[in-house]
Amino acid sequence: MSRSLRLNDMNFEISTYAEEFALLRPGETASAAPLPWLGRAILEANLAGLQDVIATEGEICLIWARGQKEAVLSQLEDRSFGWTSHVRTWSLPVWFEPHDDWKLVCKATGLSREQVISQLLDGRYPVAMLGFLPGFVYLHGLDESLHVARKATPTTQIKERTLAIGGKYLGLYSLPTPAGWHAIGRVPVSVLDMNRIPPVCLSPGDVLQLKQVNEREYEQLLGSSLETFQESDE
Amino acid sequence: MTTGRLIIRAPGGMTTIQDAGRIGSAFFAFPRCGAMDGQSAGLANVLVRNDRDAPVLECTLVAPRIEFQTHGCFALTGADFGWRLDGRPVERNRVIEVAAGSLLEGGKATGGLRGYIAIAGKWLVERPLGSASSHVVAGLGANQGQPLRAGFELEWEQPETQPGTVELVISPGRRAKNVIRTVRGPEFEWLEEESKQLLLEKTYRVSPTSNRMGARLAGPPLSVGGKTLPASVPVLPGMIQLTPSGQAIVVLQDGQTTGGYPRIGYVPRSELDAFNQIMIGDPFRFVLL
Repeated sequence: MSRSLRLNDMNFEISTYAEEFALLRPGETASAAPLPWLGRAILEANLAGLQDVIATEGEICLIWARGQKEAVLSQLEDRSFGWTSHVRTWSLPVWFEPHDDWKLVCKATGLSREQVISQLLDGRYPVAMLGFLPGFVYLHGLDESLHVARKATPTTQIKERTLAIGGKYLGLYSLPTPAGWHAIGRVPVSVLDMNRIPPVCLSPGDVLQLKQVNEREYEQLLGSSLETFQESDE
Repeated sequence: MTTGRLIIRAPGGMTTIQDAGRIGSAFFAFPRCGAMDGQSAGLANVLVRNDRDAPVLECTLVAPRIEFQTHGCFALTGADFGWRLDGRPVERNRVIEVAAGSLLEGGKATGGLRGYIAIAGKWLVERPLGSASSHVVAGLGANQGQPLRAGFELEWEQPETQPGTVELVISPGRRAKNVIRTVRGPEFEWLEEESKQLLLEKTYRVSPTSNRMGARLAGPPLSVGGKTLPASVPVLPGMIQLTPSGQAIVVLQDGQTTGGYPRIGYVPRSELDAFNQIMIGDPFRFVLL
């Protein structure tokens, strides 16, 4: 069943499934505010009856408590959440460890490891969305020359706090999990803290820049707080 | 306040602590987790007069062996594990009082895959991000999210009054467990006509490589004619994803919150409870709601 909803002065098409959740997709016009940002705003509005929000770049998923569909959707009708250009920038230390995946990255890009690193250090990486598993962060901004298709078969366990390339995204794995992306570096600080709410301190729209450190510096920085590396809050 | 205590002597197949799940954290990619058969877990809690959403022990395939070190009051629901208390058979779906030193044990599950043990009182377990539910990958929940091992001690605040004896009669053939009602998923129409028919007419089985993250289905392969999603999309427990090999995977309680495979179907919550009780290798069918 489809209907539409006006939210942030845009039309969204709503599809509901088994009266348990809905997917919101933007209509004809592109959203001024990225959907993951809008998803975060909806989550923080604490709508009565709404249990969970999952937001990707093309869809927002709303999951409500039993029987709360109309209550949730009516609270959203004609709502507008202010899109501010509030950008937090972080300068994240990265140790580009000599991982086996570098061979694939160099082969696929036709660049040397040094060229890839130099290109990566030039970039700005806005948080695209949060997803997959706790503490995983999708980042935009990867230069086209560095796009490397994901592995056909996810391999082995990736180490915690690993920076990786997957297709057009740069990604940050916070937890040791099986991984289909190409590992290129380790980050000494964690963006995941399960003892606080919210448990992930990066938000869609935040921008990361990378700062190269060597293995010794990486080890010295282990356990520092992410706040140390915040550049600006404007 | 007096404290109750039990100790796990043998963990059985896989025994974890679960409740109604972690709500409100999916945005940050935390799976909901929680009891795989929420109706049975809730029933066990209601029997012992706990909050319906309180934590329970979830037993999988083979029963754990549990020693009560204090008196206590518990209820067993879900699959039949042939439960015995100090060697004598005990029934499911009723309140049972035990004295200190009693031993609860059982065998292999029949008539389902998972069983639940609720114990009257407030459990003294961690509830990170609002839930005791175990999430193994993140090490989150009671017992650091890990399955219980021999020697694990569980403590609870004894209720001021014991719940008293209650027995429930669950009518057996209340529903056929081998038919799972489903709705069309967002990408259902991508399926080739023949695949739509296969999905809704043929028999599928839950493959042995399944776990709490997802159930891989064995059966006739399906096709969306090579179509792929341009980007990752939201997924939640109950979503049926189609992998490029043609094998479908039902996302389960510990599954990831976004995915890149077409979502061909969705198994609603109450049906997912029944689906999660299907024994590995047993045949079942999907029907459209």
